[in-house]
Amino acid sequence: MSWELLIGLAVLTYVSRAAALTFLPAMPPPIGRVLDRMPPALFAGLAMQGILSPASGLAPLPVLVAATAALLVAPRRSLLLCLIFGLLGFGVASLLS
Amino acid sequence: MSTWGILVAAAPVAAAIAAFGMVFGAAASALIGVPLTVAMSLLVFSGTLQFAVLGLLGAGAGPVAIMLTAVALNARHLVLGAVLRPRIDVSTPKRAGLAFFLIDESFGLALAAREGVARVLSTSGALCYGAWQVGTVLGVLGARSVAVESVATAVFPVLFIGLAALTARDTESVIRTVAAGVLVAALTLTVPAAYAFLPILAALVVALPGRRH
Repeated sequence: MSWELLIGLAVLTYVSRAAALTFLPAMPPPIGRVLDRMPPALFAGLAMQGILSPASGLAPLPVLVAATAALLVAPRRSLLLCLIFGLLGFGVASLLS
Repeated sequence: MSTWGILVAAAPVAAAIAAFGMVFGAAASALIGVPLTVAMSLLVFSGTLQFAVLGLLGAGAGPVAIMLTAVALNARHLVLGAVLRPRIDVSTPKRAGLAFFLIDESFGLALAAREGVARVLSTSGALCYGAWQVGTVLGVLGARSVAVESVATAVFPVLFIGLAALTARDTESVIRTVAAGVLVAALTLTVPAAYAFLPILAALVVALPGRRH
């Protein structure tokens, strides 16, 4: 890892954040509608990557229980509840396994 | 929403981020040294990317592979920025400043807010930034525990499930969200080489079909 690579990563990350929020023009309505539908799906995909990966396969049982517990309270649409129930599920499963 | 209300809403997320930061600080300082570890957290401020870079460095990947992975992982910021853009009515320089705090967690909280989206983004983003730095420094200083590392592996999917729940507004959105999760699982097993691109790819695929209004 070099300083040049680090600076490159920092610039790339900031540009990706600023591009659409700051510099690009507003999207035409049809594209805007598609973009509006993407965030929850994107987060679901990232959550799935925390559960299943090509390198390590399926996550350990406590992590699966944590994800299941978070899913159970997901209809309440509360990030705090998901965190609390997820961690409770993780704790209980860790104690039992 | 008041500043205090934003801080209260973002506090649990910041605590989770601090735990991640601690794990990152401990792992990264052993691999790339303290100065680069601290600088990376200060300048990049992206847990997903920073952990991915550590994994790649550990596997012996070169700069090109690392930058390509960064492009894939950062592609989601284009979506998040484009979604928030019409909801934020501030000058271009202020947008440029806000952009630094555009992370998954601050985006989720900002999108869920009915008013003051820019303030929610900046306040929650700044709190998460502070938490990430504190966690990183604690990890660098040796505050490492197996329990924290273990919990961090569970917090990652739980946090994103929470963000998906927070931003899914109706039944149609929930169906798309579940479909994206299933699609990422299927593609992870069948096309592992495209792993870093899968969330953005799946989100696009499930977002395309639909009514015009």
